[in-house]
Amino acid sequence: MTITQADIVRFHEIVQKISGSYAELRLQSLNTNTISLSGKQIDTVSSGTTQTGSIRLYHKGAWSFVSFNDFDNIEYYASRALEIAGHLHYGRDSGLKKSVPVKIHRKIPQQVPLSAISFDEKFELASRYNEILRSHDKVQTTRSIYRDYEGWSLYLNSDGSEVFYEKAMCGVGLTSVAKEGAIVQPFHDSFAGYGGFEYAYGLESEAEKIVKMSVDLLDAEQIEGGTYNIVTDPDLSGVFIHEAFGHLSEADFLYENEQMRKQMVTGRRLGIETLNVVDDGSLENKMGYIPCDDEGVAPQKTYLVKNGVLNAHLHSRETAHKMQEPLTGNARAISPLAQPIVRMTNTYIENGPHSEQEIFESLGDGIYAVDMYGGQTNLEMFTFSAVYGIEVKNGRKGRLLKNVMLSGNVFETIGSISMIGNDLKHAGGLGGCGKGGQSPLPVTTGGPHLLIKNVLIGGAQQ
Amino acid sequence: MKESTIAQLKDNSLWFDIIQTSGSSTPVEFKNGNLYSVKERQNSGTGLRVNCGGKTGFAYTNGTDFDETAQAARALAKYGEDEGFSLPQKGADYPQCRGFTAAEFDTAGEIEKGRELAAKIKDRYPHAETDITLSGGNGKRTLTNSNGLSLEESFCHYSASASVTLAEEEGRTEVWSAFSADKSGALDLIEREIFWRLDNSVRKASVSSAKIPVLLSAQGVLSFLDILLGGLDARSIYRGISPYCGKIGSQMFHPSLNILDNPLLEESPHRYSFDDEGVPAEKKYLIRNGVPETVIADLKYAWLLNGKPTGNASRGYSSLPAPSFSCIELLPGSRSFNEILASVKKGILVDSMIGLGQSNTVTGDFSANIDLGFLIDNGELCGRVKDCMISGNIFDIFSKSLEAASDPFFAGGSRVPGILLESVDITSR
Repeated sequence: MTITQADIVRFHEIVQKISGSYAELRLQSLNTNTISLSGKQIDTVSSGTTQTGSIRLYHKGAWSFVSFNDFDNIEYYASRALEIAGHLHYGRDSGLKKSVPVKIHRKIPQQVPLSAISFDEKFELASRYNEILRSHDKVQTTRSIYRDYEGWSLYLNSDGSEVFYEKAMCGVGLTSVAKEGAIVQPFHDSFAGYGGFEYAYGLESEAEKIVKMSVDLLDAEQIEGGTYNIVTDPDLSGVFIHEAFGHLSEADFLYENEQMRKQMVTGRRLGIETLNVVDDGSLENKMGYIPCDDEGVAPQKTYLVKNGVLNAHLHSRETAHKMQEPLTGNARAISPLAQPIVRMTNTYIENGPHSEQEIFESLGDGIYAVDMYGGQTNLEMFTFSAVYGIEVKNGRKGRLLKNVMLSGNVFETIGSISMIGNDLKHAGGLGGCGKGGQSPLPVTTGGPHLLIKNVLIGGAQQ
Repeated sequence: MKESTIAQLKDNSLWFDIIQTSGSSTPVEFKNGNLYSVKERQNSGTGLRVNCGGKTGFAYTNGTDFDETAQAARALAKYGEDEGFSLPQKGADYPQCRGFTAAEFDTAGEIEKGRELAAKIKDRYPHAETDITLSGGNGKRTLTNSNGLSLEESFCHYSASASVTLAEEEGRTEVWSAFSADKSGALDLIEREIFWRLDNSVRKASVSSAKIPVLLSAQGVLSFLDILLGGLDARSIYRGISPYCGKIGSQMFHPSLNILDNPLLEESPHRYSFDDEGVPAEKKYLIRNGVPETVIADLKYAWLLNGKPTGNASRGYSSLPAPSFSCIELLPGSRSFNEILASVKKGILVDSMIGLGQSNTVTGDFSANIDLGFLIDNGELCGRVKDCMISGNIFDIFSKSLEAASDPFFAGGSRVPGILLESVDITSR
């Protein structure tokens, strides 16, 4: 579906007519192409159009929210939002932080426009990667996924803000599953960016690395459960800070709970002087980039931890008002069908002073935990699954280890970071972050090598 | 669906099917005991699967551009796989899905129910942060295919969940409870469960690293079933990445383990009389007396494995069908959960875990942090344990002595009792 300036003017009028302290309209139209190949099979070749919209109204300290995919009856949905607002009696005595109205029209540039690439070429690329993934005789199955979308989103609010975003995304997800006897070992990586076909091609050497890693991991040995000093690689460092600390910084977990606020009070020392943690949605070439958040607030670079001290929280308009803190531009929704909640964007640990070599020399004996399958936290305890581990003795890397599941208390573990590397790397592909039933929201995670003391790793008891 | 679209597909394809889904729901949310939002969600869409010259293409829309979508599906067919299965014919015998009622979601009444539950929790735990979501909705799916099959089924659902957080000096306790049904219900069950979990979390306990008995609550069992049943589908078997490859019909588990897939489960909002390809629903044993018996299959993978579809094809309008479990029933044993608990001399009751989803579902190796677990000493719960992990191989653990409780918990999509496991690795600081 296309949208005209006259449509936008008409939608502004609808938003202005909604009475209440604050109202907003979000619309999105996307055309998506997906190719998914698995082993010898063609899983999915599909093309689709989705249009989604919602109207949200703040009234008596609570939200009325109506979502829809019928763009012909937006006036009706606006009237429903008003009717629903009549039920809002028991809301909190709260408010919303004011933000300067914005007018942003942004178009994502495409070096190799998606429209210039035929479906044949996209299919051929996904097939070529799949053939590389299948190239080893120990590979049992594979998955080669190509996905792109193009479209637009529109955000309007009753303060007069207008954000029109012409977006495009292209990416690839590659998985190889190696098998030998009863041992089955998957390895996966994903590559994506906002732009055109340039993000999908030229990944043949990455596909080769994925095959090699899945096969090599067949020989990995089971780790023995216990407490270890570990070094995390940049991928795992990034996921660690996102899962273990980033979510704790999201103010919707804090703003109504006095005891949680005490734990996450700014000024609290969390770690060593060289620890700096940042969230920055304005980094244009990263998957967590947003031209504006889903409440019309511009993204910014926010130091969550500065020089080892808790420095700031991430906010929506509501949480910023309640906690009397500055807006950070972190109200995000996975689509107009969902209500914005406080989310991260591009979150990373800044570089520290140490080289990788210095860190391994200091480790002495321990575990090098590399990359991650995933992570989860309950805001106190966290669990991360490293893709693999390497036993380290006297600073030297030795045997390959599997099922390296790290766990611990968030604050204790951040406090146990004793060295920070100088090799920051960001990661983010077709996947993303999950919270409140909204997944996957595009984000990136990043960090350098870290040395962390006394980390609990699950495993068999000898 | 427009006649012109149907005509276009009839003239230009070997076969086709069209799935249309529509639904609406009204979630009411409380945050920290206060009303946070009332939502109204409406969504609908259409998926067209078209086989041209033996190969299948697929396209979808949530607009009304059906002709264009059909053209896109036909154009994509040349990239598809050779698929030689047939779509269901008219006249099959479909079971009755009895008991569905029209959704009567009284928004004002639900707001009152939520407020009352929040007040009760606040009364007992003044510093607790309580989030509650109550939601009702209904919907419809229609399935049309080139064999003249035309099916329609309505559904309605109600779900309630509560999450309560208590911040502590260094850390927090978070407990939750949820259920779903085909009609609005009282929140007594949620209230009971929340208080059971909170009351037992007040005391703290510690455990040393060891192999010890683990009593899984029904919630804990449900988490493990995701891994246990993960490969019992025809797609994983066909791809050779299922732990069940070559083991169907062999004694893999302890004989007391009986698990069914039951798409006709009474009161479940997820029950159905036909799957998303029009195959009749049926109740069947997945694992009987510890022996894997049925591999769930959709039309494609049943054809590839020379088997029969089991009525387990699942899809939304924007995706192709894939085999998926319906409602899971784990058959109960003879002693109640409390009787089993009373018989455990030293062990851990595990209610929820974090990180279990990152386990190796193919090999069954798992390792997870115990999110909510209690030390059992001489048959009694004596405090919450923290900072410890549960690890092992799920196929190994469920092959050893295990006992299912006699009082299953109905969680909406499943009916599952707690289970006592003989010996599991616990790693602690």
